[in-house]
Amino acid sequence: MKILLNCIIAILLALVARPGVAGLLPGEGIVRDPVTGNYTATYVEEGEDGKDWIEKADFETATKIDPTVRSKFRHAEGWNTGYAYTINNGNAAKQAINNFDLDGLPINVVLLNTTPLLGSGKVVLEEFFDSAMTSPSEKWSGSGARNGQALNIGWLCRGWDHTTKSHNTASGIQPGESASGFGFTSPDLPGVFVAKLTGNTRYHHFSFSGPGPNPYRSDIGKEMAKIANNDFIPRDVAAPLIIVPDVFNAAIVLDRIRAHVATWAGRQLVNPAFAAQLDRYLVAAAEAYRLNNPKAGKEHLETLRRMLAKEHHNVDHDDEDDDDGEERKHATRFSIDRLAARVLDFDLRYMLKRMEHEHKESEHKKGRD
Amino acid sequence: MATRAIKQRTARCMGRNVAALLFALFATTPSMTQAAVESVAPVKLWCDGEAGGCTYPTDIEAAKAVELTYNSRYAATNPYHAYLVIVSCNGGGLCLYHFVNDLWTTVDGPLYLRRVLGCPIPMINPAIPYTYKYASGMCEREAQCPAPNTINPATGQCVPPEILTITLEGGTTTEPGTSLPFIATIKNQDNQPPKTPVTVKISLKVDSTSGGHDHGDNTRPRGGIANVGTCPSDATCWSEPSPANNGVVVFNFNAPEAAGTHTITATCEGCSNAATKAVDVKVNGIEPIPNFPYYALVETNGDVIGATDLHSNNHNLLPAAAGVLMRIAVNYHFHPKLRVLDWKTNTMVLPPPLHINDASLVWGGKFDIKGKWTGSHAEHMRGTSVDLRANENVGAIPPELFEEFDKRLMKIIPGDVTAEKFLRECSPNEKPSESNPNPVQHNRRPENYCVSQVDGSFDANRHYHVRLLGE
Repeated sequence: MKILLNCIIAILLALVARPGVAGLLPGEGIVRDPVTGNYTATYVEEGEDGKDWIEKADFETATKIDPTVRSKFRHAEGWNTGYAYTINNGNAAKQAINNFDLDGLPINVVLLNTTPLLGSGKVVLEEFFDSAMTSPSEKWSGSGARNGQALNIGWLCRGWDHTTKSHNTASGIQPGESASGFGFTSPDLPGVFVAKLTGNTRYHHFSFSGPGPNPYRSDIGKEMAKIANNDFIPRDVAAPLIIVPDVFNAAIVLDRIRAHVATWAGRQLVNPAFAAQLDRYLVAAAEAYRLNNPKAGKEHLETLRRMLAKEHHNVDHDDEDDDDGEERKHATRFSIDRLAARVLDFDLRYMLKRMEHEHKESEHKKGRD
Repeated sequence: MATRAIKQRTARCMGRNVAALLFALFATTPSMTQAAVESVAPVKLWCDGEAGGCTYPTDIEAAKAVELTYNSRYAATNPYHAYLVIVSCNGGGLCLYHFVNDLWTTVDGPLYLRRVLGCPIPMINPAIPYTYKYASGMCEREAQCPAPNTINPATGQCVPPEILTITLEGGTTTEPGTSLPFIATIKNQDNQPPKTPVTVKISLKVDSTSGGHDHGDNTRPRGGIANVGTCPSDATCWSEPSPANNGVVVFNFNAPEAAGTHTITATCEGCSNAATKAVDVKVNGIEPIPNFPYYALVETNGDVIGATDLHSNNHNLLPAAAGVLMRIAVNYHFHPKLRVLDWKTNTMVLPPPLHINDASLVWGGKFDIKGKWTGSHAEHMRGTSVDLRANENVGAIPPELFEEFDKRLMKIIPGDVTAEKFLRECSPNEKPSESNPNPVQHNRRPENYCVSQVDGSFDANRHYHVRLLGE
């Protein structure tokens, strides 16, 4: 009886131990430590003699953080928008936050005050973004680049310790602390974007002894890459997503706002019924401006603003945090996320002000003529 | 009198037909036999009743011969100028005749012909007849179409043997590790497929030092043909008969992982030639990394960085990847956050140009660092990855800049994922071998800056492995 039981247990263990991913070689697998949340992978590596060997690699996850990001955005001089972020790391966190990335912004988003590096013939060799990005302290460094597909920007809290000549994993926003001062200015209008935050680890990859498995050709490599690539905590923030053309055109900007707002229902930022109402008025407003009927356009935008104000308290306070007051939280059914409402209200106010300005300019020009 | 003669003749024919049918065999086509004897199967022939007159392939021909013989033999001499007319035959030896004389007397009646097995009249040199041989049951004569000529069964003509030629069609380049289809076609001197199946043989050679492998040797993988994964030698690697008479054999060349020039040779049994095709196994588009002031491809003493006697040309990339490398170099050199401390002046200065180690070989493909055609370094196959010096040698990226440099790489390199755009690499654990069955497992890890976990020794191989196109 005991032997039979042992056999059953052995079979069950064998079934459990089978790799859950098709295409893994014998001996390969990835195990997550339920206590630390870290991973250990065993993988097959080809030796120089062509023989296969089992190797082991560890991955320390960078998600043991509890971030809250508060977005501020306000009109700045010259039809620009100032963006600022405050990051809080909750008490429950076990790691310091040392990375805050806005990767994947539209490639043609403009940040003011970047530094062009000029080559011969005044050709721009590179555009440095650090001068355009403010940071909480000297330890934090902002940087960015356009990679041909997107604009990627982000902040890093450096962890190199010159005394010990090693990486200090304590650098960054400690659990229970906040840091503010992350910011930049852009002529482009805010939308709701997913920022990536990570905790301070010494190395954001599986630590192979050697090159490790190929993340594109080997199945275990693909699985390991998936773990490493998803090793961040996402948070919604306001970021420049609505491109404002150099020659302002209200209908075009409203079309872009509408296209962005249309993504919100899929991201659970707005319920479908409310999204449909927003869409209807945005279409009508854009059409009115396209038909040179600014009065009707203005009315539609104001209607939209009233709809948003009904849903959230002080939606037009740009420096407000993203939380409603307690009484409001309980009173309001969910129709639109507060950050989304603030972002849209900001964009609509921008449109109204800009159109008023354009109108005055036009009247002024007519008077001169 | 005449009528009687005909009746007697028909009676004889009927009696002989029985014997002839007993002897009947099926006719066969002519074929060549050994010892220069031409042999054909006997055939059924109709007789006209004369000696040696069993030579007619159809009954109507035999009957007309009877008519001719009779009329020439009797009509002129008989007083009534009687003559015979064959009206028809049924194909089975029963004919209808019409007998008439100048007294306008007519007689109609049947004419029965007999059929016997006999030797056909040869189509080539008909004056030399076949003789029936009881031993073989065949009609034979001395061969009139000596080997290697053969008689074409369709025309009966003696024809010379087929002169076969083979041609090989297929591409001239393929990527490492892929398959390239080929067609071997055999034709004879009439530009027709061979009349009988012919076995096609394929062999494979490789230029041992091609593709940037200066260490070339005879162990170099040749690749494979069809279902043969790897051809072990230059001899015939794979063979297959061409299917029934179409003269075409289709096969794949299975390119190995290492780039280089391979020669496929096709021959066939009876072919007068060998068809060859050179195939360059290469990653298309790879070019030498252009010179650029902000990275270094050579040491100050002129040595190519990373080059060895095994692979002297190690700095090749796809142009798009080279473009990203240039951006990385510019960023590394000029970015205000990437400064190094000059210990002599105690000031932060611009770092030296990035020192570029292995990229890809001239045609890409497997970059076998140790020249054994095996091992890792697999991502250096496609002209998309490069190693950057990050140890303690001149021009290396210092560890205090690793974090900032990581960040720059993540932002500049294309792709929407971040973690796999680059790695910091150390030497892999040494694997046991016959000469060193228990090597020390230093287990140098990138998060520990490639310092040995056994004796604290530093790994001089520490470098950045950068996937310039995000893959």
